[in-house]
Amino acid sequence: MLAGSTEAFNRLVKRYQRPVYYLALRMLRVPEDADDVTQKTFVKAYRALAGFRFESSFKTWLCAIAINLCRTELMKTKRPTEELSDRISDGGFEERQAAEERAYQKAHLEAALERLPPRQKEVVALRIYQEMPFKDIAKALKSTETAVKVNFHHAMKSLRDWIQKKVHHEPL
Amino acid sequence: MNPCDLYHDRLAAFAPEGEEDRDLARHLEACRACRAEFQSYLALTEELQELSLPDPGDLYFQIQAKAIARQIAEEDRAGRSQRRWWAPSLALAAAVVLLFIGFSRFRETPRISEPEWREALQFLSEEEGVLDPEPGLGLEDLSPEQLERLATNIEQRLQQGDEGDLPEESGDWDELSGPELERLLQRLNETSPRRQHEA
Ligand SMILES: [Zn+2]
Repeated sequence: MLAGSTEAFNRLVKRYQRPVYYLALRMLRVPEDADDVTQKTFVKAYRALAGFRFESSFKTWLCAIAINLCRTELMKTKRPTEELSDRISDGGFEERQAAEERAYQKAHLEAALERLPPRQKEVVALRIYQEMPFKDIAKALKSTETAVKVNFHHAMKSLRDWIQKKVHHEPL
Repeated sequence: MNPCDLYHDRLAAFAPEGEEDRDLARHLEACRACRAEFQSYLALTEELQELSLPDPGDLYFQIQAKAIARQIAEEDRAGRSQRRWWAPSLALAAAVVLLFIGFSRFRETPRISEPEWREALQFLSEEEGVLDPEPGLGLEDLSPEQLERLATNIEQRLQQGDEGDLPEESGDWDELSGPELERLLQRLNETSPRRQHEA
């Protein structure tokens, strides 16, 4: 019986490991840390499965666990701030020649994303990259729908304003 | 006070389909300035969606899944959940039911990729015999094109036999046995209107 349930759980892992990994990578930006958080998320979920109340979808629940682990991770260490934008501007030589400007814009946006306060970044990650409805985001972050919408609004407004400023005035 | 001030804070979070804000929808129809503002958020959303993260590849995720499976097996060996083995399995059964339901919603999003729905379908079919809360729920939700592609995929798989080399993109089917595939194909043929027509 137990063996059957671990097997079924392993299928859930396969189904959801990518969303969880990319959410963690979006938050932490270091692949090794994202891997670590992904593994911990599922182990924690397995332990806590009996406590899963179906008030949210399984994915929302996993994301909530992952976000919490990311927060712990973020508190532990100072994160690098330029890694992803470096990666983009140093990226493939051909790509750079073909679409240098596009890559540059992306780098600006990546950098702007990194400047968001943690809560706003969480909301953006869940909304834009996990395509979660606001009510699920509220559940995952133990907040209210109104509050996460306000967070999202502030985030989007800041991003847009920073991008416009960057494009028109300052270098990155 | 400018009437638009009432709406400005809601524009970024506004989703024309799905989430309801009729008041704002009406205002957007009437107000060009807010429409432009809303468009700028839509554009930003698209730009954000295009920011890709490095894909570590299938092998990476396979290894990761194995590492997780190992840790979970260790948990079990340690006997931590033995006392209440039934609790996780009941919850798991319900989680699988949620997946069935979740899948039909998830199919409607236009950005769903081929491997994603195939994976979801694999899940559906694998669980079918064990936990079939509403027979055919998943398959009936698929479009005729998706059913057709799926059926072709399975037919190829069956023709090649269990041990045959699979075309690369059908990797997700690896774990289904011959009889399971046959059962799924049968279900597909019953579900797909085009196939019924041909038969
Ligand atoms: Zn207006």
